[in-house]
Amino acid sequence: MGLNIKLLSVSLRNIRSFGEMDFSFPPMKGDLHSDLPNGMTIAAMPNGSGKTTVLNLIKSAFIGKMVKEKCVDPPCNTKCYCANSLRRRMNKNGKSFSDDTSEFTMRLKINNEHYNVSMILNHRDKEYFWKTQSKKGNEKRWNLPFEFRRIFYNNEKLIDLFIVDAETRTKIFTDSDNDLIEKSIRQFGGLETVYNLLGEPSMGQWKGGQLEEIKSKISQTTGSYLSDNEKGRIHKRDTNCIKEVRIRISENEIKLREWEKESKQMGTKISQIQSRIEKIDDEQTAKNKKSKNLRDDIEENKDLLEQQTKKLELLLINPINIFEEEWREIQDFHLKQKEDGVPGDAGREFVRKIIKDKICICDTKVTEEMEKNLKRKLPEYIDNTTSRVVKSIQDSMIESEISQLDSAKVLSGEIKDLRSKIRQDKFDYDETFGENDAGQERGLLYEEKMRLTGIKEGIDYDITWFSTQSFRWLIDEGKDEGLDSMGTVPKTPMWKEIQKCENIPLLRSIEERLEERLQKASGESTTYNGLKIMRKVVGEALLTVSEKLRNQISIDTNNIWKNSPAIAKESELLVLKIGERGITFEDRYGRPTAGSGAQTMIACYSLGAALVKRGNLKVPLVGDTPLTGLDTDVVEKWSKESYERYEQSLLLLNASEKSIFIDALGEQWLARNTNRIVIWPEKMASDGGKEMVYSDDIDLWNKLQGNSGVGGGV
Amino acid sequence: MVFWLSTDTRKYFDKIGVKGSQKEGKSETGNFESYFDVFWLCAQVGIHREEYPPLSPDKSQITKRVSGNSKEVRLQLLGLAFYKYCKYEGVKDSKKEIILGKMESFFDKESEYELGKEGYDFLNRAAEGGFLHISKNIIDINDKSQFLTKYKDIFKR
Repeated sequence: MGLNIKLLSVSLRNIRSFGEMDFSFPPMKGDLHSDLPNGMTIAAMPNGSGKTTVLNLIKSAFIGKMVKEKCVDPPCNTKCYCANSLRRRMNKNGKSFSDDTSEFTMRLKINNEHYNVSMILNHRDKEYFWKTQSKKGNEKRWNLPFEFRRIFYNNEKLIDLFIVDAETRTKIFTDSDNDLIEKSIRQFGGLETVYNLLGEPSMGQWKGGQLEEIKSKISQTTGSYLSDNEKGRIHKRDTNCIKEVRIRISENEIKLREWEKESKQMGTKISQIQSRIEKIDDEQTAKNKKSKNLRDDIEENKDLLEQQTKKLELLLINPINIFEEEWREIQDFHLKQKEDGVPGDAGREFVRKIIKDKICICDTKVTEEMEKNLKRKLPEYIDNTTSRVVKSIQDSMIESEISQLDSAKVLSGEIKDLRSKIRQDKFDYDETFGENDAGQERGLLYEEKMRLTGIKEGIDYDITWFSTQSFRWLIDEGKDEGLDSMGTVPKTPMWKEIQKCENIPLLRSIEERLEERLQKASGESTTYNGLKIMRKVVGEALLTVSEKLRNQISIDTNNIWKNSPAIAKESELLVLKIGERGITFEDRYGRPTAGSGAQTMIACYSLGAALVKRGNLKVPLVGDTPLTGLDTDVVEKWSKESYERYEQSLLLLNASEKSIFIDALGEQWLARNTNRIVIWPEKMASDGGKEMVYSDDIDLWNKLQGNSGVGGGV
Repeated sequence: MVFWLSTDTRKYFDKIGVKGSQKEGKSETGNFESYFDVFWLCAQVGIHREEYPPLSPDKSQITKRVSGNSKEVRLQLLGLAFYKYCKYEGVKDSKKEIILGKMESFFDKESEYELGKEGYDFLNRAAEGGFLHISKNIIDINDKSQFLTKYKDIFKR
């Protein structure tokens, strides 16, 4: 049971910047009642012309509830559901420019039936109400067909996937919760499966007395409730086949349960390993910090130690310090020599005495020549380098400083302390990092985690395959059982139903539980009670369906996501996960992370596409500045993919996006595959506001440029 | 004449580290500024212990003049050396004529920065004597700061 929705037209009267506006697409000029065609329609609208207003109105008509807008009418002046949030501008005197009422109408075709949905705004009372026109007649309420309602009514988050305000699209992620997925999955996949068997569960149709009929439908499908006579009418081979198949299904279910248990255990182990890895990482971070402090300390102390060593060296190299005790004696020796005239006149006196006595110290007589030589050399004795250095030594002895050997002791103590501190720091450092067992352990844990993850993925794949593809197995098994021994698959009603059925184990479960409940309820004659039980049984069964289908939709979404443009390499790094916490991004190690703008965009498109696929849904794609967040080099791919995926799309572009679109796709492609319309401010309204005008004139479309709207004398 | 350093002394201090040496020392607290500083540290020990053995035949010359950090205390160094030399010769209390004689053989006549034969010989033997003591008492030391703290202890009162 699919749902085929087509947008035929959108009309506005006295809303925001729109006076009278009909968003249809006239194939011939002047025919304002023509339908928007299939394919891609591009509306070029400058900034401030009302793209978001149009989008929100379409969205409101889909969900049967006004989407919040900023109210322009004091005293509200905030986001509200008040009718005046959509009122046309006030004039300069603060009086209403327009009539007391405004109106928005959307024409739709749902499964080939025409519907007009209108929102009537009463500005006097700040209220609004809906009108629906269908072949049933006019109703003063929002009342689209059940199939439509059960999917879209009041489901703003879901409609956000198809009626897209790209600028605020990320809210789907930030606000996502289980309800969106759960509800959508049930509506798109789960219900369809069960409704095919049970019929529509509308109270209007499920009237008293139909319980037997429902029971019969289930019986026809599964064969559980067949009477002997009925059984006799069924081909024996089919019955045997079903019996055999049931046994195999039971076996499979046991296997599935084992796998699920195993998968869960793996998950627990993996998460324990991950916790340990994180703990090691935390410890490592703390160690790194400690090591930095230790290294800094060591370096600082090493510098200090070198300085102190240098000081000690200078102290120890000074003999005054080393010979402290004797120094007085040494000083006295030199000072005495000085007093005695050493070197001073000592040499001169010595020579004079030899000259005077005419006798040398070796007792030989001094000749005249010797005397002459002695006199000539006399000054040398008085002023030679030897006497100069000795004089300097004697002078320095007077100036000798007080010993500093005590300082050397203190320094030596400090040096020992510093060395000890450095040694301790080094020991601590080695203690912390010497044998990096933690790093080794982390490596082993990581390998183990990867190994278990690989196994778990394999198991999960098998579970998914068996849960969702078992009907294929069923057919193959049926063939093995000889059902097509004549070369054709038997065409009995039961076999057809089995082929249609996507989840035999589930149906069997529904059947068994229903039987159980009905037996318990026997003796209570009221159909109402039976009906209540039936709804509860079906509801519980749907939870199971949802769980199974969530898995499949998650896989579909990820497949689409990974094959989408703009994701490319990033898809190797990120996984889009639809889990108990809604939609999230995870990195390759299963850690939650954030996606970029473009990734978020494509993720939403992927989810929308997966739901559409599962639910056999045809819905138009309406986009407000849909290129927001996309890199220009993927615009072409994205556009063509959307063009192929959606039978009908309406893209509201601003002027700069229009240029990007033309650059990416080329004029020829656009002319061949798209319908182009333009909304531009033809004139300023008398209140100073804009008066937007619709046209499909390609010249006007071409002239829209920049941010101000249509340029070039339009 | 010149200051000499025995090969063993040179090896001992190269292991710690001396600036200008071709071998890289292991000290983490700096190197000795010059081979003369090393020479003088040894000589102080020899003088202190009054041990002046003959020079090892396995030796190499280092410099003629006081250099390195010792330059700052050159006069005190020479004053000590000359005093100890006179003491060693047994003339420290002799008349000035005798002292003058020792002075002339201890110091150089041409340069006030160099020594006479006796001066070099006395200090070389003092350094040799000091090193023999150091090498027996300060062993397995590769670090300058460790060496100096132990060196200081040699002169403990």
